[in-house]
Parts: sequence; C-alpha cells; structure tokens
Amino acid sequence: MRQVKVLLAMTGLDPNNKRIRLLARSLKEAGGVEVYYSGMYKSLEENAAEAVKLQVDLVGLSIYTGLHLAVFPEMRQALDAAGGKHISLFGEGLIPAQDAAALVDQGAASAVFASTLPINTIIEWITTRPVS
Amino acid sequence: MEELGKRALTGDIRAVSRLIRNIEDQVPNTHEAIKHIFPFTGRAHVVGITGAPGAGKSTLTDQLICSIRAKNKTVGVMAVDPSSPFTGGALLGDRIRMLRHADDPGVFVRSLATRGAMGGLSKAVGDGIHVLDVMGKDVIIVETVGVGQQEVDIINHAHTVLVVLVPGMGDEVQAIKAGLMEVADIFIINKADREGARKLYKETLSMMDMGKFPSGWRPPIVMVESNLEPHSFAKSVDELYEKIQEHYKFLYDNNLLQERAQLKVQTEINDALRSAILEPVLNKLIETGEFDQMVQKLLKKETDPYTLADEVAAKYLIK
Repeated sequence: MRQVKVLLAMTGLDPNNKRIRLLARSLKEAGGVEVYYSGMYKSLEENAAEAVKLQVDLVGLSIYTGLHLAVFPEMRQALDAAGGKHISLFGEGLIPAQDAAALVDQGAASAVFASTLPINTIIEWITTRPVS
Repeated sequence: MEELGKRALTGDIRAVSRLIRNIEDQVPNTHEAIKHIFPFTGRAHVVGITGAPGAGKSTLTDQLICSIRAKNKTVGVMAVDPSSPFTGGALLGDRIRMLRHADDPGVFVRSLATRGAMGGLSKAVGDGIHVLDVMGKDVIIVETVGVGQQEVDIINHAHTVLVVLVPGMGDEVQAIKAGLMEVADIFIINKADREGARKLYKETLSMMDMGKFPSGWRPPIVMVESNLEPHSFAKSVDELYEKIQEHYKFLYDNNLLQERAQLKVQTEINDALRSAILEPVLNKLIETGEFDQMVQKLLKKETDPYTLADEVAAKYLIK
C-alpha cells in the first residue's frame, strides 16, 4: 500500500519549532501520513540528503526568520542537486501572502502556507494531492 | 525493477533508498529486485537492539555506530517506529539522534514505520536487511520499536540480539518473565548511574543463574551509564561492541550462524508463501464480495469459520 511520506525540516538558527511539531503530530494523527522530523539547526544540504535517503514524497520547510525568499530557492536547488528532483517542496512559517505567491510563481515551492492559516489547510493539501 | 536491484548491488544510495521504499509500499514487481540480490546476501553481521520504550535504544545505536566506524567497518541501520493503529500515520524521530552520521558515506540510516505489523518490527525489515547487506554494509543494526514482553520477532532476523533494560521501570520481577528475556544474547543495563541499577543487575544475574544455555553462550551483562558523561559513555559502548564481536565469533566458531540463518529463511519462506498463496485468494474473495457474504453468514450463525475455510480451500487449492 502506498503511504504518503513527508520530511519536515528546519534550517539555520531558526528556533521556532512549536508549529512544525504541531504539524508533525497533526499529520500523523489526522492525516495518516508517515512523518519524519529532522530537528533544528540543520543545513539545507543535510535535509536534502535525508529526503533522498528516505525517499519522501514531500519536504516541508518551516521558516520563521524572514529569510524565506532566499532560502526556498536554495532548498529547491539542494534537493535537485542531491537527486531529489521528484520530491516536492512546500513551505510554512512567518511568510507574507505576496512572498508566498512569489515563491510558488517562481517554482521554488509547490505551496507556501502562512502561519496564520489553520493547520488543517496544510493537512488537506497534503492528503488530497495526487500521488505520483 | 531488476535494474534497481543491480544498482543496489553497486551501493548506489538512491537505488537503495528507492528499493527500500518500494519494499515498504509493496510495489508490484519489487520481488524481482529481491530475486536479483538474494544470492549476494548473508555477508553482514546483523545486530538487533530491543527494549522498552525510552530505554535508550536510539542513543545506544547512535554511539554504537561510532564504535563500529572506529574499527573501519561500515554500518547500516534500520530503526523501526510505531504506526498509529487508527490512521496509519507515524512520527519517525529515531533519526534525530543519529543525524550526526548523515554525511558519513560509511553509514546508512533508514527509519521504517511498523504499518500494522506485530512483533516489534516492520514487514519491510527482512528484505531491507538484504538490501543493506548487498550494498556492502559490514554491520547492520536493527532497532525495534519500544517493546513489551512478547514482541520478539527480532530473533528471526538478527545474529546477535541486545536487550536494553533500565532501572526503575517498576517491579523488577517483570524482567524475569519469559519472552523478551529469552531472546537476549547480550543484556545492557542502560542509565546505570540511576538508582536501582545494582538491584536490576543482581536480579538479571540471578535470573540467568536459573537459566540453561544449551548453546554454551551465557549472555553477558553490560552496564552503560548516562551519555551526559560522553567519555565514559563512549567507553562503555566500545566495550559493548567488543561483546557483540565476541558473540559473533562464538556463533562462527561453533557453527551456530547457520542456525540463526535458518530462522531467517524460515520466516522469509513463510512470508513469501503467504503473499503468493493466501493474499491473492483473500483479494479475490474481497473483490467478488464473497468475503462480505461470509461475514454476514457468520453473523447470522448460519455456518462457522472452519466450514467456510474448508469451502474456500476446496475451491482454490489444487490437491
């Protein structure tokens, strides 16, 4: 049976891990998703290598540092470079709507969710995506 | 699929990762890849590590990786975490404790969810071990989910089984119960700086004095203290690794490796037969709606499960 697998990632010195932990539990308990969480203070490359080793369907990157415009394209590149072109990237964090739209437009992320949205929005998006 | 098997043989990380994912998802034709790699399996030393939730299995595994790498041997790890019985979801956190090995090419860590399997492992573990074996890992560590007294499937897959005990987990007599205690090749008393460690040590010792060891191997007890003292922690785990090697040598010298290997192949043929014979029949029964009809009949007490099973067997089994 095919089961959706997600790696939830943080990067740099971002210490705001409350919501990503809530998301991890919610995805497990409400969404039936297999969730990996790689913890705080990891580099983008470490997370990309993890994503490939785990063969996840999705990587979710949580950013509360305001650096999202720079970091998402870099994460996308790191994933591609590690051999994870087929792995989709989504974002979560303190991200203004116009930045979120810009990131999706430029192809850096498949979806970006502001932290003001209910967590269900993310769960629904993940569990109703067509599996490749 | 065969291609994936060929690439796994060369140690290609991506192929190995994909193959394990396909095994987990039971993608059709994955068996073809396993057929291809099976002749090359059986080289690695498989070490199982099991114990109650929170006993420190992941932390010990992490340090054990260091001890093994210090001897210039490569390591594969399969860490199993529980799936939710209600949604099938899982939160796999073991690897957070092992991420420091992420850029070491001699280490491959993979986490798996149980996906409803009983016994403390995932169904994918058996074939997963083969994949890590053929990718060239010298030692394969299989970390079970936190177990109770009866989840001892690890014995069917590992050459050396480590059972991790911790002081203060309630009535120490619990430890004497059958099951988990019988599968141990090495006991680890973890968090041995805590109160009750001496008592646990003595009780484990006296339990073993009552036991019989037909193979001639009496499980040693290794005390490991808190990892807050990194130096002494590393030293105890080095000692643990020596014991693990001693056990492997013992199995080898006494021609007992074969016995362990036999347990594994028995389990494998059992599983393979189940998926080749039972599952297609079950799927067919469910597809045609016969399964539901049988359930209804049973609810109305029109028949019994054994009569139904005989009928199904008469229909599908070629005598």
